[in-house]
Amino acid sequence: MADAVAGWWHEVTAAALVGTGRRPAPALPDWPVGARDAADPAVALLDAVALGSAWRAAGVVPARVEPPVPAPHDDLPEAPARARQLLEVVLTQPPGGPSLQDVLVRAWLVSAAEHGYRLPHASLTEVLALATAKPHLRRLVVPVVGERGRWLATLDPALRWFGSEGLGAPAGGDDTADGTLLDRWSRMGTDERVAELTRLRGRAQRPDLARTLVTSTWANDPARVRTEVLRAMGLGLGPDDEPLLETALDDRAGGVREVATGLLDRLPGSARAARMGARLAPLLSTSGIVRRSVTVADPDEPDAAGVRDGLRPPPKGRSRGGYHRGVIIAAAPLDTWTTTTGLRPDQLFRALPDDETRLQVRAAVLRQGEERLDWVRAAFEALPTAAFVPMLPVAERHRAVATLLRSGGPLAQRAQVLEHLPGPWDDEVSTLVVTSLEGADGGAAVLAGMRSALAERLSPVVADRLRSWAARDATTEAHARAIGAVAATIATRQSVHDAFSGDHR
Amino acid sequence: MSRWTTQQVLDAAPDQSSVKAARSLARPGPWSGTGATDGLLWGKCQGSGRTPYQVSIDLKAPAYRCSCPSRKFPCKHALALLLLWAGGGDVAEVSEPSDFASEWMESRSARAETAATKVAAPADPAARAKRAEERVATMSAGIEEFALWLTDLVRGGTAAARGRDHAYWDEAAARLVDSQCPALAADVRATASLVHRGDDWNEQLLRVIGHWWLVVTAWRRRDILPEAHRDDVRSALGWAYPTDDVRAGTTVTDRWLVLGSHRTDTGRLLEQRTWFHGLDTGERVVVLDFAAGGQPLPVAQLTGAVVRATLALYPGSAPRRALVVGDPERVSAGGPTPVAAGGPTPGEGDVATALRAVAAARAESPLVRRVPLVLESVSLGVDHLVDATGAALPLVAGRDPWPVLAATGGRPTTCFGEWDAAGFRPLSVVVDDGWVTCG
Repeated sequence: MADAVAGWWHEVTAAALVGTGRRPAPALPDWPVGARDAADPAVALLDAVALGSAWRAAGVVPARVEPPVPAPHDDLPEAPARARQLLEVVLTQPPGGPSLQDVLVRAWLVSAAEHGYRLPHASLTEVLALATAKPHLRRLVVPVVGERGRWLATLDPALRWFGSEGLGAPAGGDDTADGTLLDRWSRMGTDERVAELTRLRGRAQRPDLARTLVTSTWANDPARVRTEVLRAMGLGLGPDDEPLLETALDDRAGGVREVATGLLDRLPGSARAARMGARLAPLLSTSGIVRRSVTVADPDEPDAAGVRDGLRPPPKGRSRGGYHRGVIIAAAPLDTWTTTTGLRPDQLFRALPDDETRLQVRAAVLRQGEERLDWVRAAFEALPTAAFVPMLPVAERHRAVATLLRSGGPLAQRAQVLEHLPGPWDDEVSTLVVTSLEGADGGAAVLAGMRSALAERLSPVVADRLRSWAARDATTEAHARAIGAVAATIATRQSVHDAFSGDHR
Repeated sequence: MSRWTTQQVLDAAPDQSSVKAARSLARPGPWSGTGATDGLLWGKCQGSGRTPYQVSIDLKAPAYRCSCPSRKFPCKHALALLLLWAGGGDVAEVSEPSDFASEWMESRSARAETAATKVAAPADPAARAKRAEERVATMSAGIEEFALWLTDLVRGGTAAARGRDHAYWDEAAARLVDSQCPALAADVRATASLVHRGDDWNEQLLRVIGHWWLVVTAWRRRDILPEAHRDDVRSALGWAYPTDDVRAGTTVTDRWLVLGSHRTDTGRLLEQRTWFHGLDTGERVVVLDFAAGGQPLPVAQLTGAVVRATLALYPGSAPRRALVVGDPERVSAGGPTPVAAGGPTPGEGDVATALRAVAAARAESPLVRRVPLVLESVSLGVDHLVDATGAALPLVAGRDPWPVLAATGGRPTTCFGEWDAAGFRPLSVVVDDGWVTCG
């Protein structure tokens, strides 16, 4: 019966497709439904279509489909109620306005991960969509999506980024995985290789594996590729990289050699640094007894070894001697100065003859000073600059920031120090920052320009100060709004923090 | 009046750009003199001008007024105030509205009274019968013309019809509008794009044509049809029932569980369907709301809430359309009602049982389009739902499947939705003993 009707319906659709002008409607199957005889073939077909579609609509049979594989039970507890509420607020109407939404989303995700909670299921798709649109959030989203989120990521093609956002190869390494990576490396494009190196040398903490990859194809890679991958090795640079860089000094391509010397400048323990130290020592001479002064002579024409170490012809408009002196200062170990002159770093800065030389030495400190606190302090004292702030011990950073904020020059330039000061800032620094900005001409504009960084790093203790500043600020409405937005955002950040730590399990 | 949820506010917005603008204003900064009474919310918003805008919101209607020049309703200021209030923002609860808000309320109720008297003007039964007669004549002529158009269509074949441009369908639709058959006209207009969708376009088109032909032939035989079928035909053509007539007809008072709602936007018209299930009577009805011209839809009922209300039923076959008489009273206090509190789940059960219910509804009236189903122990996947026996229903295409997957994790649950010829549209699911919207 059902087959007969199905066959008849097939005929009906075929007739309808070409039209009754060419193909009449089929005769009705033998079924217990009365139907009229229509003289007009078109009417007969319309009758058949009405009858057939009503029959089909009423007689739907279920399909047979494998049920979906359900998500595993969640391993992490759902975020506490207050935190869930705050997340909804942050997603739908961020208190500091849309431009500061990311700050709060990040704060929420970081707090959740810290306290071992996961996103509520009801917000999963919205947060995952946000991370799809904003890749910088992905790293923070992945740890808090829970089993449900990982399960969704296997089903939704839009979440393909999820897998590649894994936390890198496990420490210690999985040989087979490394083997496949080595195999894949040779087929990767330049961009892909740079991305892979950035991952291995950064978050994944596998600098050696990165080097193995680079050397595996080094001999056959074109110059452009060698330049780019070597540049990528700058991340997480260490003494173990020296042999590769030393090889690169002999590279056919000038670009590769240039990257190699730039990276070797950051390795004061390398053979090339020692060679440069040997070139610097004879150029130094001291004079005076009470007020010592140090002069740096221009080096002679370099020999072949010197050229190999980077003493190349000067750029247009610069004297060879001055240029090579700069190259040598940049590359020689800082200790060369102290052992040759017998001066401490702070004394040395006072003894140097001119600003140009002082700046060159400061640049060397910036590159080599990672573990050399005496040098960092002396250089900052002599020529303060924001880049030193992260190199100073945490306890000394406040004073450094204060020094920079109070030093002369345009406020906008001074405020750049804040970009170099990783958050979160404690109450003292936060108060100092707000005081400096509020007390300076154009402070509101500077704040507005840096609102994201400030909203992310300022301590909530300054929220009230910012609010009263916002109410008072008379520059423009936009500035007042920005100040208010920062205040609202840092206050909400605090609420998020409290929501997670307050009623923790 | 309980506070709206943020979602309710967002649903009231005319468009996304308004939402965006409102969010940036939804913070205490620009607001002053805010307050709320039981049914009214107001405040002043400092914009770029010197005088702040005065915003008043009638939470019950809902209706919006703002002194800003925006032509959108609600404007960003009203939305922002609602967001602030819905988010638990600092809006004072007082008993007396501010001056500007109460003035507005008074003028509104005055207008409403005038409107009420207008409606209440005694209708002349003779004139009314004459108008109805004229309308039937106009419709009959239009429907016969449409019947001819249909026979021409199948004579030439659906493949040829598919090759025609939009104007082919639009002109037929326009003639139906002239003949006072707006619902049928809307169907015809929508078909222009249907024929270019999917491989089974011929099946889909024939389904629609079958429905039209059924309407045409039923109209011709309307005098001998049972009353309910006559009403179904009338609705399918788009001859509306005056709401006063509906109110004067059958009413059902019950504790209604809000099963779920769905919104569509045809570009010209916003439509909201809300399904109710009477916990005591077992009656299942749908309430339709419409809005056009940038006006907002009424705030959606909270899925899973139980409201005590009297609903007036439109004529026709089950599932009946209904309208809400008076103010519904929330029985469950805020938030999703625990399923247990709603009594036994008003369910069809598994897929096979549900399809038998579909068959029964269609056998009762072949013009029934959507059948509401509560399915138990079904797992929702990306494009199907499957019950414990492995029987499956296809889900309608073009919806976002991910929120409901995130909510259920592919585990069996109770799911409410609408079945129509195109598939099943899930509207709500039970998660952790509460009903949640499928989004």
